[in-house]
Amino acid sequence: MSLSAAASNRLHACHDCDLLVNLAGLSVNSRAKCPRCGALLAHKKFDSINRTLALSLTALLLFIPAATLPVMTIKLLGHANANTMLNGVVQLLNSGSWWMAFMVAFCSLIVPLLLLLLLFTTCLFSRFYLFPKIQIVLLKSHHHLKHWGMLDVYMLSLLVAIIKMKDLGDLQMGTGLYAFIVLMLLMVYAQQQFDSHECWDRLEGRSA
Amino acid sequence: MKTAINAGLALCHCCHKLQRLVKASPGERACCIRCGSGLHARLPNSIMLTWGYTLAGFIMMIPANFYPIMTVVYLGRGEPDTIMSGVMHLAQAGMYPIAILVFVASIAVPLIKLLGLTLLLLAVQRHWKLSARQCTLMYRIIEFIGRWSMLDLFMISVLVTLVDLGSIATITAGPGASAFATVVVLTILAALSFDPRLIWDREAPRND
Repeated sequence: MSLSAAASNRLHACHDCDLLVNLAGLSVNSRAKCPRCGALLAHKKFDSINRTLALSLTALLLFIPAATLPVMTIKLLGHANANTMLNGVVQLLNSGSWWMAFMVAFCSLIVPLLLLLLLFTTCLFSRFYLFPKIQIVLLKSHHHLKHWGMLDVYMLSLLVAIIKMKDLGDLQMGTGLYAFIVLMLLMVYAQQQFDSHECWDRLEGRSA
Repeated sequence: MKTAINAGLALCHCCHKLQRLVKASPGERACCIRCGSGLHARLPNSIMLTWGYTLAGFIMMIPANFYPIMTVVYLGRGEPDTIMSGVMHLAQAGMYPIAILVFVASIAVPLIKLLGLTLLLLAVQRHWKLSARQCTLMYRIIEFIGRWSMLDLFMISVLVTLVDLGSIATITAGPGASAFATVVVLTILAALSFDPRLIWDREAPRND
């Protein structure tokens, strides 16, 4: 293959069908789709790093109230009981369903928290061109973990639980629920704003 | 239409860097020049791994659907619910939207995922003449919907802590829930280990 250096810099292969596509001249806020299979090859976002930094930091702060404050309280025949995201896992662990407790903790607490920390540190380091070796580890970890963060699914399951339980007793929404809703929205938005390609390009010392 | 594999190039699975694939000498593996992950033109052992996870998923569907996933004890009476009987109870109580949601997330989605992956694997292995574009679309849908199966598990973890009112009402998780968690993990792993580029490989030299 005889390709000029400039062209090969912007040559990309589709991750879904392996077609070689030239991505030269892709402007900010535009998407490139594979002409053969329609996969989204690149989506250059405006000010991606700064936005991801702001969003992930806010989400990290919200994680504390969302995980520890009561999400809902149920009152039944004079007894009241509240649940938080954390004690849901503890309860499952106590009842012996350790595998399920692990899965719930992994997908709804551990991975989302790790992902937010990764987004924040990656963008922080990338912003100021710090610690390239660590950036590689962070970006690789993000690539492997991103499929396992499921806050949006958790949100829907809270909704189903609310509808299921509203006939059983007096159900009250807690502060944790509102913190969680905002956290979930911020998490989805931060993930959507994050552009790993830009971080990799900056790491190579190439202007994005 | 030229593909990366024909041009002797490979896309890193992790950081998506397109680079020349140098044949590694025996005993050493090719590595990505940017992130250091193992470099392959196609995911290694993709078909075998996907078959393994898919078949394991089919097997785990049996305990997941026949063992109870949770037990609701209300004022001393109650019986264990399997996934299907839980859906029936919701439908009998007139909560049709929620019944449909739970049915789709817990029964339809895992089954469609496993059947879809089986179809893709057979299409690739048996060289079936299926539209590659539609197969890729199906793969993308399978990859996207997989995580939503966790809905039921998160809901159980919410209910278990919320409804913990001693002798009045308690909800406990059953063995079916752990089996179901395994099904979800296996289907996600199966989708991740399948390489969609295999679908396109057999129709590569079309417009060339």
